[in-house]
Amino acid sequence: MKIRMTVNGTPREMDAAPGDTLLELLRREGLKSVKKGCGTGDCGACAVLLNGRAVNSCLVLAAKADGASVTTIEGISDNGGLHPVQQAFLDSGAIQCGYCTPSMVLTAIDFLSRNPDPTDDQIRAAIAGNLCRCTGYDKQVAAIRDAASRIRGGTHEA
Amino acid sequence: MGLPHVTSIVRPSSVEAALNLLKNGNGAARLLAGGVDIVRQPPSGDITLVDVSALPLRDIAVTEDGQAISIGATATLTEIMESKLIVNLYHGELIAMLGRVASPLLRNLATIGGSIGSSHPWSDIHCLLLALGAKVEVYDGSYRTVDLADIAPRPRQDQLFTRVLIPIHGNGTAVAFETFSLTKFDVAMLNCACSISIVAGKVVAARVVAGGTPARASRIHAAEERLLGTELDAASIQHATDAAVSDTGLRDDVRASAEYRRVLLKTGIRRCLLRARARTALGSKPLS
Repeated sequence: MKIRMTVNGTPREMDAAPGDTLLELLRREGLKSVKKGCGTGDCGACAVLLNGRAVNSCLVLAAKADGASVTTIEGISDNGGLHPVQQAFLDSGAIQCGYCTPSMVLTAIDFLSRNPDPTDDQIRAAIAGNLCRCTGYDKQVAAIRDAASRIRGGTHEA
Repeated sequence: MGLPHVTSIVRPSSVEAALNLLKNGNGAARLLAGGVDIVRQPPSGDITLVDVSALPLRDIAVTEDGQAISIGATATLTEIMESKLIVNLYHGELIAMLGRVASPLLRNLATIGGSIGSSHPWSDIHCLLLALGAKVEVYDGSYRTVDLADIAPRPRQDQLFTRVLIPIHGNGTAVAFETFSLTKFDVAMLNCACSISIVAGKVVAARVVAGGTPARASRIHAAEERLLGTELDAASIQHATDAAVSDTGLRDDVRASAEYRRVLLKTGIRRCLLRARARTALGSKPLS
């Protein structure tokens, strides 16, 4: 079946089997930032923005994304530079192995778009579905707090 | 990877068409809305998925008679949490409960209809909605309203849920919910909830519910009876708590032992009753 969706701002038409997940489809299309972790919606490594909301792409059938807008980490650059959330992750040392990072950044972008001035507890709750086996989360929380501040202080919309 | 047994996905243009597809599928058709459960528990035989997510079934509104909040069956848990109609309902208890369900990523996908249809025994949603006296509108050729407690524990091929109706009670009614899990992200070892209505200082209606026992949530009538007519004082709370523990068939499973669940239930019911009490006019009186 044909799936038409806007991926990172570009309309695309892709072939998919009815049972393919969005994760499989995106990776097949070369978007390797979308990671397969558990495949059951527990780890969050496969998170993408589906119509602006962070979702586990392993739990979304590709056919359900027909007509939707999908954003992966490849699509969030800010005029060729890093998105403020990416920059904050870099500056805070919130990346170790990097496997969870794309999904963590996308989840943070969705979260900050609806909660621009969060508490640390709210940040921790927001990334509860994104597992990281390296950092212990403190640096990611600090990074998201810093990103919120950068976004509030600047003109960038999360 | 994926769901190799999904042979096709169809998008009906109406609720009636969706039901026909479901019924005519001879057991090989399943509804698809949020899609969370169908991917986590993939079918073992070939199936057609009937995608109802594009049907106009996600509105959240007050019913025409003003007696209930109507939540469309395909509204996601996030959409419910962000609804201005829900935010302050029952002292925010519904929002707080939903905030404990799974993760934000999953809540962006999971629907209220799917949550009820999947009927997981540990479901926090099912537990609190039972205490709230929620009803489910189903379509099986005609629209009718069914008590949540009467919804079958397994999805049926001859009906689909169209909306959930949560009664709007007056100020004399308060609810409270408690859930216990190893981590916030884990499913409940046990959950419980209560709804208490007070008139002239006395309990005139009570619902006490426990779920994840490890059975599906259900009302504990023996506990409710201990509360009716009382002033929700310390003694009646103790009697209700004792009745709840003795009248609930608590069992062992991989998440908790029956013995541990007894402690959780006792603690949870007591906390619920005390919190509900504090939210009614009785809350201004010291607990005697």
